[in-house]
Amino acid sequence: MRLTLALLLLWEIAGRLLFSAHLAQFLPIPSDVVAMGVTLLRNGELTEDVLRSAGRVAIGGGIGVLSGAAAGVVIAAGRLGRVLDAPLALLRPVPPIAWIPLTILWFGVSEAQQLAILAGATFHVVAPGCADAARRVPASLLQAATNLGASPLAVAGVRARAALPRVLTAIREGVAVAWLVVVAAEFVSAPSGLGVLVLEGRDLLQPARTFLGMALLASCGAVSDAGLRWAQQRISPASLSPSGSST
Amino acid sequence: MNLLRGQLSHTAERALGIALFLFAWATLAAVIAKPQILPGPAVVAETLYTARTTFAEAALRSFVRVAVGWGAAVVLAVPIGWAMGAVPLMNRELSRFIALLRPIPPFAWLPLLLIWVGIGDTSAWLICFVAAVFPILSYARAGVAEAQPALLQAARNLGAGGLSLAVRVQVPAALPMTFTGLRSGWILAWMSLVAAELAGADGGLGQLILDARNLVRPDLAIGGMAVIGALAASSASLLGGLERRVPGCG
Repeated sequence: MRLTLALLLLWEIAGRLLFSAHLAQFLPIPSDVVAMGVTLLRNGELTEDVLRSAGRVAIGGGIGVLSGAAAGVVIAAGRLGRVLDAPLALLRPVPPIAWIPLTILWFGVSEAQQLAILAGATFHVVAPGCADAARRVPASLLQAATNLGASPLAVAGVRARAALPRVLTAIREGVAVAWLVVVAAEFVSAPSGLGVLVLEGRDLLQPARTFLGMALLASCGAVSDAGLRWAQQRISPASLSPSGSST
Repeated sequence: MNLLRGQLSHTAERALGIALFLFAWATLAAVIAKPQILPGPAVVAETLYTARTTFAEAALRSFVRVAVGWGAAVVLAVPIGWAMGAVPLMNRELSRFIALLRPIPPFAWLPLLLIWVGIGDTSAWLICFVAAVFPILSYARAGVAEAQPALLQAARNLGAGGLSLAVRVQVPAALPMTFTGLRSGWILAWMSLVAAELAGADGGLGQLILDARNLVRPDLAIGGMAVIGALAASSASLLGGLERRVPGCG
């Protein structure tokens, strides 16, 4: 903490003393960034940017999580699942961002295209995670449930409950990836959002915007991860303990 | 025998899955009948062949960029990570600073880099560096910090201390985790590079698929995506293979 504060202070002082107008095009001082933040907050741009990006992550990520969980269940289910997993495994190494030009050809420059990219990115993280979670449920547990007279539906419930910790971790990882991807997706084709804010800084020669955007992206990602961790703690405390199955 | 049969059936299942996928793709393309929207697998394969020099050049360019940026990250982050794992004071001071920078998506650094160094190889190297540096650092630090205390104690009991302890016990013990970090950093660097090239570095696979979109050539785009994916997967498994050859990591 001390190091960070010291560096920020040094930056501020050096900026005020040394920076010429020319240099200011490249590197804003911390107070500039804060001032820019206040200005943009006052005229509503900042709120809109944050909400847009967060909304895209929530909706696109949500679609990816739901479809990923469903796919994960199918994949873990045996023969059919393995067959279906093969093409997915082929597609998985392709970075989500590489899909952007193709999706633009298909969906045009639209919100749907943004959501498609985010959904795909999240899907490719959540599906293998859920499949792995379902597979790791000990067969003995399911056998015990059956022996005690549980119906197939109830046994499925037992499996779901047992897989829950890993599933929640996979969801968190999926959302984290969504935050990484949303920046790139917005760069290429969006009217507003945090990625756009970052880009505007360059176009308008206002690096304070870029810094602000970067800081907000980091914070939003951190906040959403913290929120999901909290939810995970409430639902399944064991999964977050050191002896649990996740980080 | 059962094991072999199991393996064979797994391969057969995979082959079936891929065959079904190709069949579905080809059928969909035939039904839509608009090659500027969805070309069939045959068209893509042909494009990959006819434009193979273009693809190869772009692939090489991208690959070298990632290698340089990632390599620089390795050289910097591995020693620092190890030091942070071994020396608690260093860890405390640097951790906060790093924790502030790490959540910034690597790609978000791009406009800043473009302002500072302009379009071209340098910004590509820097993006890969930034992307790879944090995972490599974290895993290297964890590798040292999580070495079994019993191991360290035993070494100390046998008379090792200071530098000798570090080099002959802590570093080898940290290698598996460090390698995981190297792989993780590589993949992140790859993803960030493609994004950077899409947004405007010159040349490379990212620009190839961007051009494909501007020229309305989805076959080029799909071909480019396939090459990107294949390179990402094969380089990651190459790294994994290297890891297995290092004593103690296999």
